Amino acid sequence: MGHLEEKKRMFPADGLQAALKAVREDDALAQPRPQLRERVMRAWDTRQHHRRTSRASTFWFAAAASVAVVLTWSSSRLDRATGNAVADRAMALSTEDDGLLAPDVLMDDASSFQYVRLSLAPRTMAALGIPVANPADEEPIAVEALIGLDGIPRAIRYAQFRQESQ
Amino acid sequence: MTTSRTDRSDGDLVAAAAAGDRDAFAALYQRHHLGVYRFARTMTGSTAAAEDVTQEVFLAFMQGLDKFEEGRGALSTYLFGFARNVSRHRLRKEIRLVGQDNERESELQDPDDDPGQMAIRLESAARVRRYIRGLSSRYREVLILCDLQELSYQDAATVLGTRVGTVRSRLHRARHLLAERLISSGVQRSADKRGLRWAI
Repeated sequence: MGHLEEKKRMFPADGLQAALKAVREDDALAQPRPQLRERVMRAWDTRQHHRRTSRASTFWFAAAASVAVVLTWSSSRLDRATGNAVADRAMALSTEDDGLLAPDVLMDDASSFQYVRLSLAPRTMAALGIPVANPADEEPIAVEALIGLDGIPRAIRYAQFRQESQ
Repeated sequence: MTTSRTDRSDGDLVAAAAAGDRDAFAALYQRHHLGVYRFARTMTGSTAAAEDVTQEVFLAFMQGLDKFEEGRGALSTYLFGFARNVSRHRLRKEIRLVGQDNERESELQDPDDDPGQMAIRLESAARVRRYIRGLSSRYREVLILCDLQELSYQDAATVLGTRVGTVRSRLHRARHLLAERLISSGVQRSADKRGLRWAI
């Protein structure tokens, strides 16, 4: 039997507990520096700030995405409606005798036209090459025109809308 | 009548903190930081390391506030679990620090030390703490939890993720090893002179 074992045999009680108690008492006095609390709470503040920022970013991103989707959808519907109308008009103009159709009008994308109704002076009509009974007349003439995105009219004719509305 | 923060349960405070209540988190810190700090101090043997561990524990806690379930155990137990993992991880990274501690311990074990000097050392909790730190992690942590932090065997088992029976056997072994270290360092001789005797 070793020396240590001999010693252990002769031990009465509570020596170890006394040593542990001494450590507990020493522990009771141990305090971390106040800076530790400051560091932890600063980390809390930073985290909360990031969370708020993140939440706001998520909200605004979602809102922006929703608006973009709505705009795209509306634009798509508008483009389809406008494009179809302009194409129809262009096709109609090309078959009518009383209008002036630029030679390349059907070569362009129909969605690149704007269909407008205008009132033009007879002399302006004459300047565009459209036959007018009396160019000196002051009475404006209602016309329909297809205007390209560059602002240049591609086609023009006497207005038909009064007849259409009847 | 409103309930003050000191009266509120840990579960209430955790729920409030999870909802962003700064004061609730501060109250939780105030309530539990000392236990975590003292556990880490004895585990690592360094006040600076203990502060770092405490900070890491509360940072991890604040990031997972919604993961705490009051029904599964006390918050102190939950935080000791964090502290245990962080301390062990830190100790694995700081082998040099442990090596230095062992050197200091071997100095204490010099058989030619004056018995009077040894008696003085006996009274120093820091010395006992050093012997505790000389134990392997599995024994040290159970000794700290049960004998220093005074957790129940059940709570210690929860922290360590083991069975109560294992806690009991490890604690018994840890006390045995600590007594051996105290004896082999010459404490016994000095203690006998002062009328103190060590027991397992």
